[in-house]
Amino acid sequence: MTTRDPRDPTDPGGPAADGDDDAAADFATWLRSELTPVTTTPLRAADVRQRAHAELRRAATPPAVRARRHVLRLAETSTALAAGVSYVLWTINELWRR
Amino acid sequence: MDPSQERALVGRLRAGERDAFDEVYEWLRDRVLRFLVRLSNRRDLADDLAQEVWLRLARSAPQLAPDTRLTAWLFTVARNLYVSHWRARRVAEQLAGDLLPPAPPAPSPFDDAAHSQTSARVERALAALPDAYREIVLLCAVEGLAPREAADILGIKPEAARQRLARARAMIEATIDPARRYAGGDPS
Repeated sequence: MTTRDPRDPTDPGGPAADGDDDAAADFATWLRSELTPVTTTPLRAADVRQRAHAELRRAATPPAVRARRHVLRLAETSTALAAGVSYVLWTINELWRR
Repeated sequence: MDPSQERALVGRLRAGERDAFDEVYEWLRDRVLRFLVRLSNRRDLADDLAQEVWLRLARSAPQLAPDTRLTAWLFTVARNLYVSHWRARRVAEQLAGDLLPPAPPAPSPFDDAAHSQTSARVERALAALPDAYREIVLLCAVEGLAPREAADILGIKPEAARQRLARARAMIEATIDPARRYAGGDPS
């Protein structure tokens, strides 16, 4: 019950119509005291942090820079592919001439 | 955390600061996880969904509005992810048709870990609530959100949230031994 303004009767999220705010607060306190604590395991937390940091880096990279990197990667792959095809053709040619 | 501090934290998140993410994560990670564990009644699923919530925060950091309330944002994403998962599962079960026998009701994941008999009963009572009631109890009574904030997260009117909360409270109280209820203190 953090942001509610108990003085504002027009606030629909504010004071209870049936005046049971105290009972609701008692219930919440009691419920919280009875519930079993839940914690994130250190291993999972470290994993999430690592992945989130990578996502943050990615999200902070401008789209133009990301697109340029993608095109460069494609170009590198194409060059490597072209070199591979040339080598195979050259090898076939050499074998044919023998 | 007061609103001005939260605003500053959101500003640093928008700038992609890793320290800001770590601060938010330390602050709210267990709250998001316990919300999901009790919403889904499954620890493994809750761990996966919670991870996705945090990755979404990292992905969306540059687009966050400067006045974003992080608690509400994270609980909204967590709930939406759970609802999406539940819908996908329901579709898969419908496709499977009569091939699968009906699943037995899932026990609360806290059955073995509860620190007292009352605690175990409370966990079971919470797990047995219909989703619509469980989520309002989790948001308001457990996480301390105002009914108005919870209503925003759930996409309902504040008055409806208050009514749901009152009904959910009555349902839990009805299943707990009156002698062990909060009003008179817990003798266990």
